[in-house]
Amino acid sequence: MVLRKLAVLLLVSFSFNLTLPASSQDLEKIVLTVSGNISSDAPVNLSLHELGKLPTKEIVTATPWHDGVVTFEGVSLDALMTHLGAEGTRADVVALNDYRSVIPISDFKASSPILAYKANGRYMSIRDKGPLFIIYPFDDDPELKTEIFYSRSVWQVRSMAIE
Amino acid sequence: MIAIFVLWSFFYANRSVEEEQLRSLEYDTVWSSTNGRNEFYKFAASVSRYLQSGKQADLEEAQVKFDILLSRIDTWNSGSFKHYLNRSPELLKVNGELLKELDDLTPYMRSLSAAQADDVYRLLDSIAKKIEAIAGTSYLTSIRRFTAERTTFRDRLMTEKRIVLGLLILATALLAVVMRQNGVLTRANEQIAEDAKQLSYVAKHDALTALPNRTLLNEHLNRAREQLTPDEILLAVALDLDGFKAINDTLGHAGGDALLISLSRRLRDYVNGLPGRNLAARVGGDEFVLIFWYRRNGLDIDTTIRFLAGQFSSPLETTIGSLLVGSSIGYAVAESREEIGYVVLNADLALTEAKASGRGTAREFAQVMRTRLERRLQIERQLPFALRNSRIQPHYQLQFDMETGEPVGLEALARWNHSDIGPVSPSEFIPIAEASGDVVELGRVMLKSACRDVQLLPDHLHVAVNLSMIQVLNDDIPKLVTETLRETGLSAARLKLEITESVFMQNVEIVSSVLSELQELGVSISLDDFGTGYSALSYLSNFMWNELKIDRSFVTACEASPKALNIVNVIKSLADKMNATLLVEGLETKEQVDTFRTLGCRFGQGFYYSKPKPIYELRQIFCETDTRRAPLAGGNAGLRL
Repeated sequence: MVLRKLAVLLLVSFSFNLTLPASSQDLEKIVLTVSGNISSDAPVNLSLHELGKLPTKEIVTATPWHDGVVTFEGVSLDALMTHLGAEGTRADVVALNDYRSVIPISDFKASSPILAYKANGRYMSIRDKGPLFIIYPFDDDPELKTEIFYSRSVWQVRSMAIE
Repeated sequence: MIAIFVLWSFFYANRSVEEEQLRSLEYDTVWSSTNGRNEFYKFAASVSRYLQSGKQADLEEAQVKFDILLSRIDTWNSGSFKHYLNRSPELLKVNGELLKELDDLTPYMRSLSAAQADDVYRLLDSIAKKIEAIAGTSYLTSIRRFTAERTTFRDRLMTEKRIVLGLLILATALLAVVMRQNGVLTRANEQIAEDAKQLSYVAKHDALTALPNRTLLNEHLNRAREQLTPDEILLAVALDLDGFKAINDTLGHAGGDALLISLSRRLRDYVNGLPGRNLAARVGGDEFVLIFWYRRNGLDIDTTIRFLAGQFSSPLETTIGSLLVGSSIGYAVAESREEIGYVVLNADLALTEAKASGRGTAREFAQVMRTRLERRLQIERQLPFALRNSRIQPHYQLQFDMETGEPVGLEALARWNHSDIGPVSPSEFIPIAEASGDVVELGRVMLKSACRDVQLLPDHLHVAVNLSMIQVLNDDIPKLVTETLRETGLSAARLKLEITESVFMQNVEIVSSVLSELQELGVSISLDDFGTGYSALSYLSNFMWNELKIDRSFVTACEASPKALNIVNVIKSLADKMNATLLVEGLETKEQVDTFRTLGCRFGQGFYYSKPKPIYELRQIFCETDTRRAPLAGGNAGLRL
């Protein structure tokens, strides 16, 4: 039974690599659009390459959606806001699956979440809940293990509007 | 109570963070399944759109949606959702079929064509059922769980309410108990305070008269010692009833008590009627101390004392009738706080002197009283040493036949030459010796010395020795005399024992029997100080005296008043009837000697004849007269030795 399940899982994992950013061209693809109250008048489009140029930050934690502990790597949302000159109280985050969550900007300083683009050293496909995934350091702060922060942990992030 | 608090904390501690997290994951499961369903329908819609339009963009869109769906299904197969699925075999089975069908769908999604539409729709229909099953079950489970949770919560709330109610009841009960206890304690405290007050009153007041006692008196004095101001003085009066013993003896103790109660009331009224912080205390059987604490010019001391003495001039109304009682009064004044320390002692001292001066006397303390007291105390202390070291020796005063002028005997008189304070007269130290009991030893010394010494003198001379009351009552005198006579070898006929009238009168029966025994030994008995007391002659005639010694006070009295001579006549006839000789004491002049000789008194003693002398001097005189063979004294002319 267990073996069969494993086999199925393996099958599922291997059968799709549609959007895995394997080439430099994939890295240049726009993955995030930030609009609203930022220093730029027009919405800013960012690729994985561009995000990768910002200081990286790592969070090692378990999540309700993964088996075991995962090492996430990405850019600190606080640093990203600074980088974009964002001035506001809320970030309206929309995902590829149309999931939507409003995160208080104060969270970015208080709980230090990151906009992760790598899990266990690899870029994340849509299938892997990539390319961008907001991750809170759940294991570091048990207070974060509540519905509120789970709901703010948006995966397959596509855009953010600063209000 | 503590147990309930423990239960209470346990109750809350149980709601651990982990449980919170587990429950939040539960909601996440519902959330995830709902989103998964949405994602599936969006995916299905995008497939449908592509199959209709055949546009590349729509295909890519559908592929992305497929990826999103697969990502979701991955989520369902990992983490908390997987735990949820594992709990239900049915769901696990559905999930397995779902995975398989998604697997089947995957090849179609690479190159989707209209030709495959039927297969794809059939697969999508089937997948939809599986997703609905999982999402629906998740929702129902959640609702069930939520309901259970709510029930638990309500139960918990009820339990909490009950505990709170229980605590409230307990607290109320406890409060009631505490208040009751408090009430009991308050009552007990009041009782104790009341008892203490009562006890304190009893401890500080005399039970019979309800006057303050010595304790309260001392407290009052202590207060005065702390609070007396320079313009205030304190007058202490010590008061002792005259003849209270006689009143007790005649009226009985009930009568005595009635008198004390009535007197106490009068004293209290008197003291309270005067201005100042005054106090009347009963400090002994019939002894009272009054304290007057007033402004220097507020009250006149003499007036106070005079009026106080006046309180005893009118009869006291008592339960047994009207009684009149006299009192001796001693008083002292303290002008400063320092003097308060001994003001009552001073008043007592003054009282002692007042009593010594006779009934109804009031005396103010004078420093000389203290000096006298100190001298008395010194004598009292020195007396035993003086006796042990033979500092007290007999001197002898010769007694003469007034007709012939010849010495017939001698009286032994105790002489004490104190190394510090000089000669101490017997009239001073003998009362002290009587009070201390040393008089017994003194009497023995005197008796033995006298019996021994008289044998150094011619045989016809007798020796007279004084006996004190204490000796008669406390010593076995007949035995002592017998032994002393045997030891010294003196014949009983040469010994004369003198006893004072007052001693005899105090205990006629016992003294009579002792004296009779002595007479049987052959010893003569002389009544000393005759005429000084107020004894009844009938009592005196009960005993066959060998000699009556007329007191020296008669000698001076006869000089002043011829009436006294009549009394001496009476005494003479009494002596004749009793077959007793008469001896006159204190003769100092030839006239006196002549007077008493004329009255028929045969023997005399006094400075006219001879002063008391130590035995060796007397012996010398007698030896000389022996060798000169000349008479000692010549007739009426007498011989001044």
